[in-house]
Amino acid sequence: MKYVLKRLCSAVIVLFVMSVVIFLIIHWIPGDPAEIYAGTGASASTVETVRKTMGLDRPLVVQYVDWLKGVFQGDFGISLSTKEEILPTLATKFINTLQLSVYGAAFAIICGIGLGVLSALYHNTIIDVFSMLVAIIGISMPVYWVGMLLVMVFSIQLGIFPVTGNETWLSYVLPSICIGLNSLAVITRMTRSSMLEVLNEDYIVTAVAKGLRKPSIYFVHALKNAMIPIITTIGMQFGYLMGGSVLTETVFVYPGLGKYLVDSIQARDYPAIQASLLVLVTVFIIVNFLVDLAYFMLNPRLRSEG
Amino acid sequence: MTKLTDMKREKDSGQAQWEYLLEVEDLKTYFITKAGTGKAVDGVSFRLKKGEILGLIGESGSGKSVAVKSIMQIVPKPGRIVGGKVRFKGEDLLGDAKAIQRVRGKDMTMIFQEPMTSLNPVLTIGRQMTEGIMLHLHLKQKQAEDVACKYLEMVKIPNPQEILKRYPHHLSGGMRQRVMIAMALETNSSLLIADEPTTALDVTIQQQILALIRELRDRLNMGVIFITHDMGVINEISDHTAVMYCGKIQEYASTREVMKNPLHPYTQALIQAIPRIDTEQEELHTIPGSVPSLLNLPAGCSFSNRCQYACEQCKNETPELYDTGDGHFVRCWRYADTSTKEG
Repeated sequence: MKYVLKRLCSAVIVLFVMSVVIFLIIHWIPGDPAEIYAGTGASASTVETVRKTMGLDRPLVVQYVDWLKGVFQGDFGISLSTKEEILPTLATKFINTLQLSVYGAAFAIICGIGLGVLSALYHNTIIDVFSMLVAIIGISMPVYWVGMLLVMVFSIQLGIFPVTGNETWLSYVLPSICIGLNSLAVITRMTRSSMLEVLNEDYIVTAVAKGLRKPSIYFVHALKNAMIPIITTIGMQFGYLMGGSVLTETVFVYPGLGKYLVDSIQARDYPAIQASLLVLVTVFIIVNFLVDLAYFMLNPRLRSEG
Repeated sequence: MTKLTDMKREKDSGQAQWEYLLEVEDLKTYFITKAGTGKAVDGVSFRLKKGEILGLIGESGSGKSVAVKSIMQIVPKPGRIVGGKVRFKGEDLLGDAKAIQRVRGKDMTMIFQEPMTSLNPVLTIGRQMTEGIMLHLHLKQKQAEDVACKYLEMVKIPNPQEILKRYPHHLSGGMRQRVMIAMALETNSSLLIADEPTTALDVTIQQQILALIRELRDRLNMGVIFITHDMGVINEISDHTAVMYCGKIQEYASTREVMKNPLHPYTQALIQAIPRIDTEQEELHTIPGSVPSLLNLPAGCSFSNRCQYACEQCKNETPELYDTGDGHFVRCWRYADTSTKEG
């Protein structure tokens, strides 16, 4: 229990620090939000008025506290480009991205662990070579390149999947593969090396000597031990997955948080940038916390210390 | 529950149509690598009766551990059993690929040197103990737990119910070895293979484990192969002793005979190397040199390069295992003339 509390505290602290960093970065990058809001060609006095109404003339600390207060009440401010409340748009975009990330993660985890286990069990055979090939391709190909290739082959030439959007379940397939391929590669390699290590342990010999059947030896005795480092990798990958959404969503014109972030940056829409960054960071931290919890559940040595 | 398991045990013994529990004949396990072929076990033969404890002694690298792993067919790669016969209760285990699956972990069980790493760290003791019972004896979870408790009690672990819920890291080395022993017994095993089970334990715990194995042998009448590199341990536990060196049995006799009347120069050296309390001793006796590499064995007798009696013949021709009478076998040219060849 102490372990869980400790993790929870550090998660909250990291979140707070990140909110400060996000706020400061946005305010230090070039571009005057008041000017943008007032529109091009507005007079100096109009810009000044806008600055006053938006509260941008106040000290940074006051602005930060004000912003944070809003965030806690679910008020992320008003978008500079659409002049609408950010929260409703943000919510739909976030759900879209979360959906895509979950599909991508599921694809990466299921195929990654599967390939990794096969690779370890058939070490130095053609199966091993094949899955390592997949892993190398997954790691070395940039996300947008994979995305474009997928679209070219499966959408344009074969016509199996739609090119863009999120209308039918079919349109999720390519973006999910695209967003998950990198993680799949990392998880495959981690699973392989972790399994290979575990299979050499004394307790595996014990399990064989006990006359246990192969599935029980591999999936209960070996994989459960091998999962401990794999879980950590998966957690980190989920964070990257959310980050990878920026590229994938741009390629597939998918209406998610990543695309929203890119659009907001292009429009210098600072409240929207702040909001989407904060959401991304929060998800990253929550996932990390969940990973720590899973780690705690899997590793009895950790459990008895806490 | 007790009744059921006892009945099974009786049934097993009633069916006995074999004279020896285990017969190993000319067993050969080689490690085939790019650097050459290491003959880790090179023509090992012995027999074991029900209720008998056979001590297998030798230095590290003598092939004793590979020999028993070959019997269990758990030889690590790139080791391969290349020849010989292993008959368990009259059934040939090497001829039929399925044969080993019928007995391994059920009728023929094994405990290992490192109790700290031989149990799975992420599974409870209960889970690890019951899986074998459920698989081999076809019992349900609850019944399996009862059996597990019974055997934990037998190896003198207090609070077995409580221990079942624990993880291996909660237990000490001695306790873990007891759990391993209980796990090896719980399926009514008739052959226990113990691969240096006391080497990693401190002396007091070692004594307790030895006493426990002796007591369990008497109670359950099972055969035991006990591997060690410690002559003192052999003296305490085994009925018969086989001395191994470079993949071959060099001497085989009853333990009393080996201790009182060792014939092979290697055995004599091993016994001399036991430190004694009762005599003043300046220095420990040691055997000069070290075990030769399996890839580069001396021609002739493999002990010839360290043997004080070695002659020309020893360096050129490999001696056989000669019977010197009274079931005392020795692989040494010095006894070739005085004995009849092993038939």
